[in-house]
Amino acid sequence: MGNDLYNRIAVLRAERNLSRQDLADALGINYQTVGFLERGDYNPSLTLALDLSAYFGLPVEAIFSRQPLRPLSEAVYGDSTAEKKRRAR
Amino acid sequence: MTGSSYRVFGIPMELQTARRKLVVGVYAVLFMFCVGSIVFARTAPIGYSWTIYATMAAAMLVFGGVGGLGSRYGLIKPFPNKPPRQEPVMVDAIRLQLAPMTAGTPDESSWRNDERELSRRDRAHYRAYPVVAGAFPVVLLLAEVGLKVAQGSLQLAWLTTTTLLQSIFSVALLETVLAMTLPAAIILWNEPDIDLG
Repeated sequence: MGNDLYNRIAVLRAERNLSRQDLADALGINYQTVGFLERGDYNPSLTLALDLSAYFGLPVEAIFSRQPLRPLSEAVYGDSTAEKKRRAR
Repeated sequence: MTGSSYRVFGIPMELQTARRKLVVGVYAVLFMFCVGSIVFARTAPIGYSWTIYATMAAAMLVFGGVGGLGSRYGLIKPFPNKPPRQEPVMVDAIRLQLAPMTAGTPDESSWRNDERELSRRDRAHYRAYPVVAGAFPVVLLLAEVGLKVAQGSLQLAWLTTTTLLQSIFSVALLETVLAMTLPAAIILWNEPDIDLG
């Protein structure tokens, strides 16, 4: 298993209209590190991952994954929409 | 990675290519001085040594990382990850507008390394260590030859004692410069372009 770790930090940050600096200040890290995290160039420590989880109010597995993440809208609505379509048939 | 300043001699250092040119330039100048010290050993050894020390100090100031003056002016945040000493307010200097920076406690982001920066720092030291350690045997070898020449057990017509001593000095100086600046240079070399947006 490789070291690939996928995340939704950029999407979550954009949804909340936060700049990298805002997020960095809230987490006590350098704003450049936020960029590294978003691009997947740096895998955070467990402490930082939990801090991110607490900050966004989401479970860690909603932010990080070892598999490529589906778009957030699809993850939230995709299954229920497909279920409705199936029932309609 | 970097401190508050992103410019060296007015040149922006956000781009990796600019930083790589700086690293190559600084080490090329230092290497030229060290080789030059052997050539000029007979004519002006003391003056030349001081020139090399000054260049070495300038290199540490530009790269940063080692602490002291480098921690304030260098491109790399100080490695010790400790807040710099609080400076007394220089009333006269401020009145004359000579103070280069605002007195008082500097911004925490200018000196504190976060976990990614700490991991980069540690990796840079790990990569620098073999290079630094590898230069020691060269100094030892030159010192051994120097001892033999001084004792008379080895006679080399083409090598004077002055040149030999200057060679030991030059290699030891390069070794010192590498030990003090190479981790910072590795970080400057490896860090990708900095997005200031």
